[in-house]
Amino acid sequence: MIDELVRTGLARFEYQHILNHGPPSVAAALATECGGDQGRWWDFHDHYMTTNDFSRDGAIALAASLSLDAEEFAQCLDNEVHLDLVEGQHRTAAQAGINRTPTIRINGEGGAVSDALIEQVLEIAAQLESQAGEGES
Amino acid sequence: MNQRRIWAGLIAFAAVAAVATLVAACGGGAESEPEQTAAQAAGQTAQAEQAAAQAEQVESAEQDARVQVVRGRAALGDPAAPVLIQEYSDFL
Repeated sequence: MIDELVRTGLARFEYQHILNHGPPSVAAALATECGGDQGRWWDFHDHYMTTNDFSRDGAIALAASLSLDAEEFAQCLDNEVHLDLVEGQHRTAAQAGINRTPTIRINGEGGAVSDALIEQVLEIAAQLESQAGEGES
Repeated sequence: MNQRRIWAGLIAFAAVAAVATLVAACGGGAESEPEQTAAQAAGQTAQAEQAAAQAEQVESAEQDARVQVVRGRAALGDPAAPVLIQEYSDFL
């Protein structure tokens, strides 16, 4: 559903890091951002979500399997290049009262994924499509 | 699928035109008005189908390009999109 909304230009989707599990969460978030440095944020994210190995070596092995530059990736991880970014996202979310994962917000409002929230997205999509239809006619 | 439709239209047009020509030849070269009308209609249908197929191809290509352009780091979609969906998540 989100994919369709994004593809049709109705919605933009953004991922924000939450670091509820301390250092392991931070390491995983940093790994994704290091994948992004090599232009593979979504590839790395999608594969990372399916793995149970969130260790440093596991992340580097995944990077290598995706044909990323493993040495550059490891340096990025070890130097915590994106620490300010991921901690900043977590801090901003915490200030907004977001502490459960996953949480979905639509135009700044929402909460934990629920039937009501999905209903809200569908309603917005229907309204937008209706407006788009009126604009074309 | 679009190419199939184009080819189907062209083949249909060619078949109708061939029949019309044959009938006209058998009739001493004098093509009747209903036959001309049928041939013209078939031709117009084929042209319309071809134009529609081309329009679909252009639209599809434009949408593909749009999706590719808006696929950014940790975000998908047009920054100017009216709805912003944010997922807050932890890998662990």
